[in-house]
Amino acid sequence: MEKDELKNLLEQAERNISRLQLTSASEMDQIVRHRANRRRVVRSTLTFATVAVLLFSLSLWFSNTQNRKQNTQSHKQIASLEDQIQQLQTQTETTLKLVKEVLNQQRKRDRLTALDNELASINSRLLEIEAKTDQTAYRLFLTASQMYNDLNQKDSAIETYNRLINLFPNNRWTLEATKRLEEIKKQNSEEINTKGELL
Amino acid sequence: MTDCSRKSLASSAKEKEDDEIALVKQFIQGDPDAFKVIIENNHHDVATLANRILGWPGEVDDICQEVFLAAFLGLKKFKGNSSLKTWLFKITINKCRTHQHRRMLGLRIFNKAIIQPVERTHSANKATTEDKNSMRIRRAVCSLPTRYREPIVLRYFNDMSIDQTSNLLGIKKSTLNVRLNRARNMLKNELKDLIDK
Repeated sequence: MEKDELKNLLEQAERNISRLQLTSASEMDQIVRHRANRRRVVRSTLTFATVAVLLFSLSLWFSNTQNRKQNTQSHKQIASLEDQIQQLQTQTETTLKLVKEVLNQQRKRDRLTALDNELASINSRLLEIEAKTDQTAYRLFLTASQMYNDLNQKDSAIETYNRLINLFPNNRWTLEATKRLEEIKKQNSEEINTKGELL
Repeated sequence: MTDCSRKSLASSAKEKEDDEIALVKQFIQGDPDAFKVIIENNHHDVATLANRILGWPGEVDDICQEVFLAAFLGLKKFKGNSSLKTWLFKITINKCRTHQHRRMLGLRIFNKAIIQPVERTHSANKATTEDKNSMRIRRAVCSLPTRYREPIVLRYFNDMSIDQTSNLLGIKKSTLNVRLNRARNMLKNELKDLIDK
């Protein structure tokens, strides 16, 4: 196909086509200026908005970082305080232990003193009892001696001496009683011998 | 074309370019009427190009607004390496591409609806054979992929040279020629009977 032929053919394309209805130059000028102004306003608003958003985000970021710093500082402070508290806790625990030990020792001492007192009181009672037993033993010895010497109740006296020996074997009056019994036995044997001779 | 006429054309083009640069300078300096003059000089061409690239929807005011808005905002960056028209055409092509891309993304049905009204108005009983043929040609051009439609529109509808077209589309001449050849073959297949006539 020749180029000119194509050109001729294509020229037909715009035949019988209605002419373009164009707005006047002044109107177009006005429209363009109006749109340009509007675009400028929109752009400036957008830039302002972007700047504002940027500033806002920057301030947010700044405050966040500040908060983080403060948080880290407070965290550090909290950590140091926690350490101090732990140290104090350990100190108080050790002092409490010491106090407990001291108190225990004190209690032990008190108990010991109480026991000592009790022991002392027991000793005094023992002495009392010893004195009383000694007294009783003496009375028995005395009674037996009176029976034997004054009342001439030899059998009763021997029985009382034996009773004294049985009841208070370690008493000093027991020794006296045994001596007396031996003496009485001797006297009895001598009397039997003299009666035999007399007979 | 004689040498004399060539020279006169070149000189008139040079004068035009100078005028355009002067207008741009006036606009940069803050002359409120300069941009109005730029619109007056180029509005029709920009609208026609957009109408052709988009498949003759008939309503290209939005695209024109977008193009002149981009020009208004970016005219300070215009260095004068090409003519103001070429610069505006470049913007137009880019805006048309964006428009088509948006339409392809979300409004595929709208794409058809844009072509349909032209078809409907001319497919009435009163429509002559010529109307039908022109409608077929338009439909054939519309059915071309964008990369083939754009060179065809610029080269054959806007009568641009290979250099200008390649410069506008930002492709090499060889690539442009390949695309043009392929587009021509596609159109040939589509409009075979019309060519035979």
